[in-house]
Amino acid sequence: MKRPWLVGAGLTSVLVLTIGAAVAVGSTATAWADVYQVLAHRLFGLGPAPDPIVDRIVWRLRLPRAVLACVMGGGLSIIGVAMQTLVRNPLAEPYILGISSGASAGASLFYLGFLPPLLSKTLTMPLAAFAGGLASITIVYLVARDGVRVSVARLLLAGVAMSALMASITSFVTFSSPEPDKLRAVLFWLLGSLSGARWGLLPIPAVTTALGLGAMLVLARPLDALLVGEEPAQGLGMPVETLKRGLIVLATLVTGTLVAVSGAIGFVGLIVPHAVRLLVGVPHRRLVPLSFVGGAIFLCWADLAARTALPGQELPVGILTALCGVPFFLALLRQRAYQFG
Amino acid sequence: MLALRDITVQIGDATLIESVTAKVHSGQLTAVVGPNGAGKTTLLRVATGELAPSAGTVEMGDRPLEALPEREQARRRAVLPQQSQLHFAFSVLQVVLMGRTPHLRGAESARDWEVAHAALQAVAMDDFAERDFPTLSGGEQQRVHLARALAQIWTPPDAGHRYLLLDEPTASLDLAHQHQVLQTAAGLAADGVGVLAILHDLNLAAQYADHVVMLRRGMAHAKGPPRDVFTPAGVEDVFGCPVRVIAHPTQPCPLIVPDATAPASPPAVPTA
Repeated sequence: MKRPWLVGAGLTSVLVLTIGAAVAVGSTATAWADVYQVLAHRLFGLGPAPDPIVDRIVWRLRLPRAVLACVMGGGLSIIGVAMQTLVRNPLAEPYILGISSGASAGASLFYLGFLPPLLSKTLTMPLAAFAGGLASITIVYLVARDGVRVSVARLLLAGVAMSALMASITSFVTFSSPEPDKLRAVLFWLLGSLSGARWGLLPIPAVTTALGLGAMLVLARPLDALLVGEEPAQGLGMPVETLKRGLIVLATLVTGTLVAVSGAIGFVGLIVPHAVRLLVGVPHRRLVPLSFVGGAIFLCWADLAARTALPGQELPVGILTALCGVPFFLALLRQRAYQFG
Repeated sequence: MLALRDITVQIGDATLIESVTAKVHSGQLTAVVGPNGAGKTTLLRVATGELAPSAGTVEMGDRPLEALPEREQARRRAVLPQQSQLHFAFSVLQVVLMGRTPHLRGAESARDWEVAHAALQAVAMDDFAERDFPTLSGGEQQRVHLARALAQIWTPPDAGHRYLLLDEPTASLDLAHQHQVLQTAAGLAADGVGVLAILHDLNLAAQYADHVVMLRRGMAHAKGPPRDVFTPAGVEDVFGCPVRVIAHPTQPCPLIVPDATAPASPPAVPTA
């Protein structure tokens, strides 16, 4: 099935319904009618003012969380696409390659006061996460590079190793800090959670994700060529080395700002692009926007499950994405089409 | 003319190419031959601008290659590299259409689609247009990549000439398709394209090339028309294999046959 407009329209309507569900469902049941009343009033000034308690739940708690889930899921998915194109293998993903845990380590070092606040706190945190992610992926990439080629097997192994190292750093600094709730903080950074969502946290990740989305749409054709191979892309007049470096920086920037607000949520960028490729094919001009929408849907539902699976408490959403993602990763590994070269 | 002048390539202590001069004239098919490790692919990578030579210059038309923007080069020069692996399910037509990328202003036009279809026809792969590329055989994939290169230089540019650089275009092809590919390349040359092809099969070079460059250990051992380059002494010197050169029974070109009565001793490859 390769009818991109139909799939796009379908996915977009599913996303609208998903956001509605994410706002309506939770520990306090909210009627859909009340949800629409709050949204109509808040967004368009229509209708009577809603009940202040309902308004608080819908507008202050659940909607920013649903929007963050969309930004996070969409952003991680398109960065998954970027990394897969960079190494020309569908097994690459920011979490698997160690960017996410590197960003977590950077963010937690800053959060616990080990790094100086260079700018305002809201800006330094993503910056620290970016630096951590960049350090991690640079090491992974240098280890995996074999002359001019990148060995995928080495890339994955180096990614796993750096992930473990960065997770240890995060855990170590957290446990050695005066943070009152150490276990909770470690879980937040390593497994990811959207529980901290507030409107005020959204602008930075939303802007960098939009930037990433825009850049990847503009670069859709060069990215297609890169997928065929570095030599063919060069032959088509693409500045391949610049493109590759740009992709790494872009991926790290977006991942860093996302991790800074939600911790490291894994495997979204692995599952979503693969599913979208099956629906609309490989070309980036379709894959990138639809992966964004698909990722938003996926993470909204994962977060909804994380909030409601256990009565009276919340799971870090990364547990659920890993539960879906790891079997998926293993299945991909078994597929003969994706050889290690 | 695509001119490589006095090219030397040194990587570390190894000299891969040493003062080689080679010219790809418009309207001619130039073949580069030589044993494994003689520097054929290195020379091609210098010609595409992918590898900067340690010494020497590359010129396209009358301008140094580095003075032309990469996209401008790509509008006039297509490259068929040795096979690269593509695991993602692009359709055959999508791969060929990529050849039009250097010419695009925004999205592909109806003309670009026409060119892609015509290029697929030129390699007799038009029945495969909607197939997923990774499901094709190695030889079929090679022909699709050739169609992509053809689509890239399908029409003459506003200024200057077109060039087609082929790195072992006949590897993994059966006999009929080897000749089909070289006939296509020779046809382009007749159309005014300057073609450079690395070939392993000396008889294909003898039959289709206007000009042959024979490399030995990074140096040009002989240059000229096939008849002058493919002498028994020259071929034995370079390949370490005694041969007889006889007249081709039907074509006006030499035919090189190994002399089975004498032992072959492949030349030592300089280790990098």
